[in-house]
Amino acid sequence: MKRRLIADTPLHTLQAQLASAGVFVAMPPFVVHIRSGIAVVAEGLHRMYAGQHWWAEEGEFADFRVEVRARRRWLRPMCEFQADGLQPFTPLALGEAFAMLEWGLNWCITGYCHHWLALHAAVLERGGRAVILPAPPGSGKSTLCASLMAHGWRLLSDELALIDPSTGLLTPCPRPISLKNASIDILRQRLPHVPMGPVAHDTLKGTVCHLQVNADSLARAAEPAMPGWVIFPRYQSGAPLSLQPRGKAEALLELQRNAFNRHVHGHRGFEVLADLVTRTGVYDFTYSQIDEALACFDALAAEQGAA
Amino acid sequence: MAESGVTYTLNQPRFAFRHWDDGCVAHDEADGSLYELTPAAGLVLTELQAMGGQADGMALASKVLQAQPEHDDIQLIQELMVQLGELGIVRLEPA
Repeated sequence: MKRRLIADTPLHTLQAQLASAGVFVAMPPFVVHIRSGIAVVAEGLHRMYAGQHWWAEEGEFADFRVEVRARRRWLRPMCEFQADGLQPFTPLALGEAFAMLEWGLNWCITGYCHHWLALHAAVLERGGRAVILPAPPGSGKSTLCASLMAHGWRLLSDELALIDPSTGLLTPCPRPISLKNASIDILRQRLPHVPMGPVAHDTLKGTVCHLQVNADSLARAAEPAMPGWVIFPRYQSGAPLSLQPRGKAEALLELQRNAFNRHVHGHRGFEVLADLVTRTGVYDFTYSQIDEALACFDALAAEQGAA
Repeated sequence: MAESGVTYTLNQPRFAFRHWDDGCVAHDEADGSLYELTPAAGLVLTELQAMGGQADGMALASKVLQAQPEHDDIQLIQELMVQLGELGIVRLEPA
């Protein structure tokens, strides 16, 4: 089976293969088979997954078989996402096709991969300990996550904390970081050398764009990480930096609100989350300056290393 | 005392709970519900579990207080147990 780095593949080759039989893409810990005749999907994959491998030959298991296809509309071209023959979402504008692929992949993982307890949270690691950042949209989670990655923290995921219930370890799933609205320009200025994907305007989430995962995070995608902290971040314009311990019981309740599939795991899922808040440092974190936030996280990691 | 004829039994394995200094959370396996409980409730449940999951009011109050309980102490435990009984976390049965 001939595997090729996406970065070494001409865009038109990838595009042609996507539009015909489709491509298998290694997105650790998954293999995804993708088909799409939409140019923006090919462009997004080419730019955002440049460091990953693809192949065309059948014969290997794919965790998900997905397709993003164009639906002709009289006035406004649309696209739709299919996973293993199911169409879970209503169609979106054609310009959102790559974002739809990313959202669709998240749906596949949270909908089918119940051997993990999945939380809506970013996860990064430094010095052998991972920080879990659960937060609602608009909290500045992805901006903080991208900045931490560029600052030397290993990205496990921007969206999904995948906890192995048998070990409590976090499984990496490093995929492009989803940015929205103001964070796009902030990070474009802050990280001018980090590639960004196609920009989708006027989505339900506003303007959406993705940021490429760095090479170190991809190279270490097979390394699980031990949770060290659960930090609930909140960006607040002009606010002084604040890192305050949070009650464990309250944190557990907040985590369960961010869990996609706790119900599937029953008591075991409850125990996993209870163990998580018991064993980690749990904090509320408010920031307005990214550099201050990075220094604070570095200090936490240094304390952990010294302990 | 009025409560002396009642035995409190943890409703296990249906319910699991975890107790920290700042509070307690109970999980109902039947429907996945979580209940946020006070630290005091968590302490009492923890002691009840340590007693094999079953005790009467006097014994439970003695264990929680680490001393001979007074009438008011037993009354408070009894009221708490009634509330936990309404949630289904403990069963109240005649001794």
